[in-house]
Amino acid sequence: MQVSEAIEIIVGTYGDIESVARSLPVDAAEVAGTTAQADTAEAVALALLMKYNPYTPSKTTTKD
Amino acid sequence: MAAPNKILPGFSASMWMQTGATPTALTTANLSVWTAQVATIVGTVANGTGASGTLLPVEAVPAFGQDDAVASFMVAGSRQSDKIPTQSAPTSLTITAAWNPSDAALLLIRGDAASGVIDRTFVVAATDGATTTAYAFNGRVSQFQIDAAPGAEAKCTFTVHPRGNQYGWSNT
Repeated sequence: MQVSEAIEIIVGTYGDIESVARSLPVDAAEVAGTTAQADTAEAVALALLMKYNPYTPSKTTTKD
Repeated sequence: MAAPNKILPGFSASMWMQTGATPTALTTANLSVWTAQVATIVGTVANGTGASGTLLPVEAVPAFGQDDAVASFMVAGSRQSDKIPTQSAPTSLTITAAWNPSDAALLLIRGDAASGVIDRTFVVAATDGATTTAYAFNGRVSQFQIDAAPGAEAKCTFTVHPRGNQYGWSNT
C-alpha cells in the first residue's frame, strides 16, 4: 500500500487511529521519505505510520 | 497521539461545542489539529476562530479521561499477579449549567439528548491569554434534565458520553 493511501485512510477514520496505523502495510523506507505540513491531520497520520514502521537505513560497507 | 507541547503557567478553562443540529464531527486525526480544525470550534476569547463553534455555559469543566479497568492474571506459584489495563472506557462528563431556554448551545444539547445518536465534537480549552491548549473529543449527549426548583435558579444537568478513541490534544 502506498503511504498516501494509508494517510488518507487514517485521516478519514473515526476509529482508533493507533490501531488503524498499526494494521496498514506500508514500506518503512517510503514512510521515512514522506513529509507533511505541521499541524495537519496528514502530519498526525504520518507520525503514527513512522511510529509503527521505523526505518533503519542499511549500512553500506566498501571493500578495498 | 501527541501530548501538548506547551506548558501554561496558569490558565482558565472553557468548554466549546460544534454548532448545527446535525454537525459533522471531526475525524480522529483532526481532533489533534488546531489550525482550521479545533480552532474553528474554540471561540476568539480562547484564541480560536469560533467559526463553527459556541461556548457551552457550564458551571465547571468536569473531569475527563479514562475509567480504567484491569484484568488480573494469576500464575500458580507466582508471588504477584499481572494487572492488565482493559476495557478502559472514556469518562462520561456530567455537566451542570444554568438553564436558559434561550441559550442556543443548551438547546442543541437538549436536541442531542432527545436524539441520542448525534455525534458532536466538544473541546475543553485551557488558555493563559496568549496560548491555548485544547482537548477535543467526539461525544453524544444523554440524560438532559431541568431542575426548576423555586428556591434557586433553574439548572439543567446532562451527560456527555465520549466515543471510544475519538480524542486529541492540540495547541496554538
